[in-house]
Amino acid sequence: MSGRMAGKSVIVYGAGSIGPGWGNGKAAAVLYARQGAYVLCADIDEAAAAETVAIISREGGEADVFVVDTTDQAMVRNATAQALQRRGKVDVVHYNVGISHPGDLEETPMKDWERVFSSNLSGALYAVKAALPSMRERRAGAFVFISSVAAVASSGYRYASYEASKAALNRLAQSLAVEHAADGIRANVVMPGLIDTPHVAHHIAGRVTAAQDFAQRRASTPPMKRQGTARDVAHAALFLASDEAAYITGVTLAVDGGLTLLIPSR
Amino acid sequence: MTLPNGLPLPEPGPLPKTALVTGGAGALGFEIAKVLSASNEIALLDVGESALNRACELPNATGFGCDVGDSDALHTAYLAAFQKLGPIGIVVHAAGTAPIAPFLDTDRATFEDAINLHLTAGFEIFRLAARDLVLHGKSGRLVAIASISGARAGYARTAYGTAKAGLIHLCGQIALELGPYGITANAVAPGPVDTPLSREAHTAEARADYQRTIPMARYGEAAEVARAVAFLASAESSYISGQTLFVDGGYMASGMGVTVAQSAAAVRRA
Repeated sequence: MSGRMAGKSVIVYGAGSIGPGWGNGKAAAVLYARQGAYVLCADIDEAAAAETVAIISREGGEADVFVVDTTDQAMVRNATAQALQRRGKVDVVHYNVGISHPGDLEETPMKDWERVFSSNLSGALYAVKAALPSMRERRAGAFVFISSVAAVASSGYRYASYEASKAALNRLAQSLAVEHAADGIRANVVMPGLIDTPHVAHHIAGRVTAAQDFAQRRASTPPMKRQGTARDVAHAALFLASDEAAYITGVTLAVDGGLTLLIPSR
Repeated sequence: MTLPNGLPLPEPGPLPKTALVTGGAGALGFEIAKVLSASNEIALLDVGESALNRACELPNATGFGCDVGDSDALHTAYLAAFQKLGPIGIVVHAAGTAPIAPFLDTDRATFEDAINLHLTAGFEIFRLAARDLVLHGKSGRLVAIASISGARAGYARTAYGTAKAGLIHLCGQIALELGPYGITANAVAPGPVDTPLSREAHTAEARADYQRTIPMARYGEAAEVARAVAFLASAESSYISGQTLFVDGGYMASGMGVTVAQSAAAVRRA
């Protein structure tokens, strides 16, 4: 198969969408496959991953479902082993798992804080640890982490655990980039801004305001005066994952319609 | 959607398949033009005969001889390019020199020349092209070739680094104001790139220093920078604006201790 990812073996963690429509992970998985990659679609929700795989299969691409709770290191190891078994290698690990708990810092129960860090950060490290040995052996590999502009700015929601975990994820990617550049391994971050995805609708919209006001408010915030799409995020990930980005490592690329230009802490 | 002033948000128009590259005859500029020429008609701007000569090497490029740092010449060349290609969808400001001198030895003329060519000419060509894009209802992609020197201090980069820092901020400024028109502005900030210019400008000591501070322990290639430009110039990057994309082998992500990481990797492999 031809394409920008021809012959590549990719694991997408969080490849399913939480609701109808296109989440970032689903869009990325389908895009990688369209560009010629084999994609192991890993998700905690089997039906959601299966839907992504069904789309890929329908388009003539190659993908498999794998059920993974990324807070369980053994399951992440199994996912990696599965990709290695299917394709003999892992070229790209795309980590798109992210959960959030609302709440003021003072009242945030420690178990919520730990759950968020476990999913958003430790799970990413499990994915790294599992994939590194085979990548190092081949002296090739690329990680793409889906973070959030919440890593660098307050977006008006109170969910410090999400913000802190994404900030840590940004630096995890950079530490990984520096430690393993000499092994031929790259690591980069995509920081989506206000993106119109089922995740947002599911986690935030309902508890903030009516969905339509919510969407209008989000669209009017960035300089581009619209929300982004999962496709925008997926294309940035594709670029960073591909060999086109061979000299790019340790970057955090915001896909945010200029949103981070409006905040001091860039 | 409706804006606070009651007017509807302008709907971004199509992205014209035309590109203009300043410094298009240089090693980096030409590589960028070459990659963009796969799907765009190209205008190369560069000094004297060089633009015309190198344009002949691409099937769909036209060269416009002009000193990019000269305002009148730049206007004339832009108008000629516009006449031939129509609104320019992609503008890459790659013209540059490498004035390397310690702060105490940098005279005013050297400083002003660097600001003029890297920053002021970038401002001018972006503004010329963007005005026509807005007028004709087209989307656009403005890409400035900046440098890691525009984001982190480096020895003897007073003029060069300060000019590149200005270019990075210029992109943010444009991104903010032209976002609603579907015009993006981004900087690509390379680390050291293996070109005739850097071969001449970087001493052996400087090269060794870069090897030590770049996690990938090598210079970048012009083609690697060109591919980053091509991504930011594509229809697929429409929601990325005001950003600086470092193409630097991990330089910006690192700090002290790169040699330690490199040694550790070597030991593990041994």
